[in-house]
Amino acid sequence: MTLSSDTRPADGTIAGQNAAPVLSARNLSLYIREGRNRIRIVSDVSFEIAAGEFFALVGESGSGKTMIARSIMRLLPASMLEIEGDLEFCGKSLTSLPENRMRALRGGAISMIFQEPMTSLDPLMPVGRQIEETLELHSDLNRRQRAERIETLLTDVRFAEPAKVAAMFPHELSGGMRQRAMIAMALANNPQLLIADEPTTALDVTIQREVMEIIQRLRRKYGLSVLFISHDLSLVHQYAERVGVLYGGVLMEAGPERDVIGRSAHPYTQALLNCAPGRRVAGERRRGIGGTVPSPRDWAPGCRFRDRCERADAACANSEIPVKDLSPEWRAKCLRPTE
Amino acid sequence: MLHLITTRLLGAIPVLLLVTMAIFGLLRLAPGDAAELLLPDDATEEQIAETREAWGLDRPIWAQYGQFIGNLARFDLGESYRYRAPVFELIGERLPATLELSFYALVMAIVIAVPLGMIAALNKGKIIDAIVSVISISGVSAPSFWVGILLVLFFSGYLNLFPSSGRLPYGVSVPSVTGFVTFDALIAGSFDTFLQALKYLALPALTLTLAMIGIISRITRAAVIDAGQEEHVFTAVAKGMKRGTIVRRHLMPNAAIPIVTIIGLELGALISGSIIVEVVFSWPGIGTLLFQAISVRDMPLTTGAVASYTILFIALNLLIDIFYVLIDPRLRGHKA
Repeated sequence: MTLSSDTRPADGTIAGQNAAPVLSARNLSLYIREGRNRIRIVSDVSFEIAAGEFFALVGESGSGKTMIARSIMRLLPASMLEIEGDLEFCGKSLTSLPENRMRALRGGAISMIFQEPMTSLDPLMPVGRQIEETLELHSDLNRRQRAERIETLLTDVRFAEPAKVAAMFPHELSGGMRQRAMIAMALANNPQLLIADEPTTALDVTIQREVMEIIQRLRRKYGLSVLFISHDLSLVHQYAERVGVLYGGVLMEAGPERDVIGRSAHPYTQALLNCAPGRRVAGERRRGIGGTVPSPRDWAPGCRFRDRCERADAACANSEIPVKDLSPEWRAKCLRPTE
Repeated sequence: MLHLITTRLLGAIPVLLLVTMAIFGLLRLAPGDAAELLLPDDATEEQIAETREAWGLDRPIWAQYGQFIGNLARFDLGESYRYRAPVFELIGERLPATLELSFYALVMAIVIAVPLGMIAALNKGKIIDAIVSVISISGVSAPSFWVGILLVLFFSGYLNLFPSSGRLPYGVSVPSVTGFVTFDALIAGSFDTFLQALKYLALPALTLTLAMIGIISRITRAAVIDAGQEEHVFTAVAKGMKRGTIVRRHLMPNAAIPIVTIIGLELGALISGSIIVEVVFSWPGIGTLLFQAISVRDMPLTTGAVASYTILFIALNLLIDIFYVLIDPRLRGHKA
């Protein structure tokens, strides 16, 4: 895990993991095009995900986490989202990959599930057919083999009657069932990396657990790396091995879960944890974070969290904030991290 | 599905009653009656009074209406004052011409407007989008009687390319099977007659088409843009599908729902437009028949023609609803 800074150019070699990373983002910046202008929504973010690792990217709405998820597969056209810096998948650059080779990766080696299971399946097409489409694109299975594969996949995500479910339309399934069908679709071609963009946010708590358990089980079974985008700290605490905390498009703190969540150093991470239900001291009122996330238009030099930070002083507004190493794997972008 | 059809047909009954009642009232309010207008100028007061009595025009309006409904229940629409023939037969003769004209106009409108709207949506904000906008706005803004006259002046008068009135040249006819001259000509194996019939259809159908293109292409554009922003399109991109395949398999079927809705609404415009267009092009359909019937206050014929239009409109809307059920599985699920 690296956090970029001006003082130490990220080169990917300081990662805590020894194996070659499945995904690495180096000095990634994202810009949204608005007419002739471009607005920076993600600044200089670097992280790596090792093979088989569960990595969580945490942040409030507007922190840029979904945009990072979408930039990896280049889901938004370059006319809408500009990517600077480098994204590498198993050592190959994704940013310079021609569109047709990118397409071969999408749904193949990299796949994705989305936040809204209600709308992320085509309402006019049977579920099985939608899974079959991705098999047609990335495998040379024949029709009968595809049907068998669909049954296996649906069984994998705990459907008791896979053949029946395959023939159903999305509206005939509940939210949790649809998300499971989405997972089946995402895993159809044995991907190496699964990007899960808030996959449980729209679901009931009990269903959340079920979906998370399925992801976890399949991750172990197939050695899948997971990039989990979420704002749910209890899920992150439970499942993630490493965590990155985003605020206003900047990676504030990153490292192993036991450090970042267990004894967080960055005031923003601490504030986030204070808001989380179940973590407050009995009798004490749960605290929110005062103020709001600054809009990308209002970004000024210095730390973006300083207006809401209890530890901020004049120095936080003036300079670029350095990244501090708290351990070989754990870093925070703050002038005054607690250690 | 059966439930849908039966409820619609039952629902048509009060609509028909209201429509015919309105026609009776309106024709009564209009100055003059059929006896005055149809008898020669030198007819005596007594002759006029006799005719009124014979046609029942001297009776109160509610009694006339009651008799009309009584006859209708026996599928008898009465006899036209002017043509001295059963209204049912007159309409039966003319209806195919109206249906044929509307059919070609609608097919042309869909074939032109839907691709136009799609092209505009897929090239949103580019020059081609602006060009389509100009075409649609002109289509919406120009009234059909005016467009019709312009087309006649240019294509018949100036270029002499297409005939300006009628369905077929004088003396040419085909054995009637479907009632559609173009289809009948093909069935009879006469390709020349088919081409001639198409030439006669060209201008009136084009006039109706132009009126519909505007709205259909605008709505198609909006529908395709909306459908393109749906989450499941992202899912399709994330699967590694090509843009063209996504448009064909996921975008268009979803965009089809609002497009079908607007086509359904446009059918109303098509029907009312066809009356004007039939008159402008002397097309021998129920539009011209209705026009003639109104001008001489031919009560049975007017009511019959309007009732046919009403039934036509209800039937077309039913077809649209059936089409919805076919494209959208969400409407199929519950056995309504």
